Amino acid sequence: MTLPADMRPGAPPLSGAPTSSGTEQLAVVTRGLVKRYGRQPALAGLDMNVPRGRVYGFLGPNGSGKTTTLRLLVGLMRPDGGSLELFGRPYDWRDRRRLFAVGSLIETPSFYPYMSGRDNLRVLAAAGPPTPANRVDEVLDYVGLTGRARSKVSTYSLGMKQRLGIAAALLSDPQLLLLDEPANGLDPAGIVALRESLRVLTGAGKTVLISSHILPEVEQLADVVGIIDRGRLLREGPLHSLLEETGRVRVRVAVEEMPRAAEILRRLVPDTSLYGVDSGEGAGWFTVPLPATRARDINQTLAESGIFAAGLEPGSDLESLFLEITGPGGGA
Amino acid sequence: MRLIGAELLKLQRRLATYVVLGVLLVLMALIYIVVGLTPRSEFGNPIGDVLQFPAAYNTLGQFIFGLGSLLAVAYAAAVAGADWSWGVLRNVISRGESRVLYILAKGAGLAIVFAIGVLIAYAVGIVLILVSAGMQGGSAGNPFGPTALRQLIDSLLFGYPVLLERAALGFAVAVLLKSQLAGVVVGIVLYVGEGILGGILLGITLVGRFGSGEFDLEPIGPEWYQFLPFSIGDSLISPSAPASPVDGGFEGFFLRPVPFEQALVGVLIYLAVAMVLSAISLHRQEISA
Repeated sequence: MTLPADMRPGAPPLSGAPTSSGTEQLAVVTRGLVKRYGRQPALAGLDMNVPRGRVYGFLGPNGSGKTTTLRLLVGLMRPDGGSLELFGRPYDWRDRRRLFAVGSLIETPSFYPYMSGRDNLRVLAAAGPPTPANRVDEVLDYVGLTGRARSKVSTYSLGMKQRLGIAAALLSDPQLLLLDEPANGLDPAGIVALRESLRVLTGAGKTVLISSHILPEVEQLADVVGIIDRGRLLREGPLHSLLEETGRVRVRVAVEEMPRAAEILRRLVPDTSLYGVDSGEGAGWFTVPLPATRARDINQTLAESGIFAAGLEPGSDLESLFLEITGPGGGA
Repeated sequence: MRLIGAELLKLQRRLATYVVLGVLLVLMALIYIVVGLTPRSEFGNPIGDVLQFPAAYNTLGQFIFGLGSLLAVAYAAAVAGADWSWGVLRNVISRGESRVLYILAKGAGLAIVFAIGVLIAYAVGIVLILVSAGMQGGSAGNPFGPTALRQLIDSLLFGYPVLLERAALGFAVAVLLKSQLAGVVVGIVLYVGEGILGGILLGITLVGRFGSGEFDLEPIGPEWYQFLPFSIGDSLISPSAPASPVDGGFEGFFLRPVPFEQALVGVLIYLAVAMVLSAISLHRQEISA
């Protein structure tokens, strides 16, 4: 897979991203990563680049290989082929101490149900890197669980377990945070708090990799996204670049001009579709599958035919991009 | 030490820890109360065998390390398998903890809890023997006299490794099966099954012996099936009689115990093998749950 221009080693950074030099500026690199479950391939040569100090949105349909990738990154499983790098150095699952700098919440948060949230973190803090005694209370406070810290986990709601899982991932003050569906079960206030927390963490130079299905959430959080399907990374790069490159343009025209506009736009791009009609405003929207950079061309084509667009919305949303890439023939 | 401390906290907070000990103590209390209420004439001279120190320590040890072993197998399997069943193992591994150290620390934590449980059971057992002897209108003697004390120490010293070895087997089964429930069930089935198998094999041996015209009632053996993992400890707990209730009780009449040193070495080997197997298994496992 070819890296987008702004992700290639040595390429100038986008939006103030640190300059890449080799893979030193990448927190995670995978090359040709392969993992099979029996004969079933879960990863079929994954090439992935997670820049340091950024939020990386790791997206893919169910069974695309996201969780398998995370399991390989934290040494729960061994790859059948390919290589992994953490912070610019090769990483092997036997090199467990490298994980001292990694915090993770993979799949559902799992804890001893008969113990309190605080005790669960205490026993977890005993494993892995040395953890200061007050760190447990710090992270409980950070995720807003201090008030229920002494309650048994079996009495926690899904959202509280999720927050405890995030607290567990933060225990060792990691440089790299791997979060699998972190917003799962969180209420709106919790999601906002999570978003702010992750911004604070990346502001402090930490790297966050989020695997999620909640695309609007990722769209708000991620600086860089990677889209995986059937064990391969289909697209990767800064989010805004991807949205512009593979985006759509929505064109708004008056209702009476819609038939003629449709004809002109379909002549320009056969896949142009009607997005919707707002009878109250007497206008309709067409979706033209062209990148945002072509919005001017669309406007000009319509104008030459005497139709003046009442509105042009360049770009796309992540959901459309995701469906386009992972849909039939999208990644081929 | 951090890991062992964490394991002790987990076991301390776990209800099953108290339930298992409670079951053992309640059953023990019931038996000693029944013995205490039974008229002496029906037992002949029970005080001398069951309620008289130092010999009372034999019966007490057989009970604690016999029934206790079955409970220990189930408990150790439940503790080991819980990490998979509750999915908490991946939290530990993904923090960069050594898999081998983790599983050994878990075993060490269990060993400490078993030691505490055995001491409590002995303390309660001593009180029960004194009470039961009193109910019979007799005296159990001094439980801490020089001879009795030596018997107590021997009973603890050789029974405890047997308990650990059997628990380690249940522990290893759960680690291999990666499941709490499967570990408990298979552990108990193996424990009980081996006792039944031993009885059947003894029966076959005796039938063959009588079939060849040997009618003397001299004990035979030791036979190879006395060296099986859950059976070998019987010779340490009770050199002259089977320990486990599931063993039935008639084997001791027909079988010579395994020589003491061989039994001790065998128990320690099985204990080591079970823990090494657990460590290797966890080290090699891919953790997907």
